[in-house]
Amino acid sequence: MEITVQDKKLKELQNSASLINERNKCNMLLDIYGTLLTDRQRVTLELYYGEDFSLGEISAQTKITRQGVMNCIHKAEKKLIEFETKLGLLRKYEELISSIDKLEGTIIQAGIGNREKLSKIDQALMEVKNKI
Amino acid sequence: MAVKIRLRRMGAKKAPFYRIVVADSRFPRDGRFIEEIGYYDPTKNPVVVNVEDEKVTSWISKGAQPTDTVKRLLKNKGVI
Repeated sequence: MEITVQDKKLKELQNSASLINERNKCNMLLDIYGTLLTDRQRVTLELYYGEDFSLGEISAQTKITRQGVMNCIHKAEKKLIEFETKLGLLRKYEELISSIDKLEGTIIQAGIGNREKLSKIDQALMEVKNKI
Repeated sequence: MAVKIRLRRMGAKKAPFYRIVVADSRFPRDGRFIEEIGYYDPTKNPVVVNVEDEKVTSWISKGAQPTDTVKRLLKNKGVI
């Protein structure tokens, strides 16, 4: 009995983690492709994902019906996913960041003791990261 | 008056960072909130969630409603 309860809890935790990740992903996609959406779609998604508003609250503010808000969000999400499958900018961004992180790790390991050079390299890497 | 605990997105483009805030649900979207009670940083590995437990429990006992996302974060943290 106890095991099943624990399993349930674990599943719940994993589920909630993936839902939160999903949300982060949507926010990233919105950052990248937001300007390609219609104004209404962008504003609605910004309220939904950026400000964590409920459908009812968005509907009260934008004067669209609750159902309309839901449709708008679904359509906009579909659009974002379509852009990502076609262009893959988020995937590329994440790959670049992770390889820079790896590079950073190797440099730090290789250059222990040489603080001055390390800090210069670190600065350069930060600059690259900010430009991506 | 409905008081909500929600995430508010801060941070730069492609670098999301969220504050966990207590806000009136009727506040328009102008950034007003009652109190900041923590933050959530998904860019770090592992993800950083920092909340003031006492404030959360006190606000919830006063009837503040956390949004689903906030509820999940708090549950993962074991605050509620």
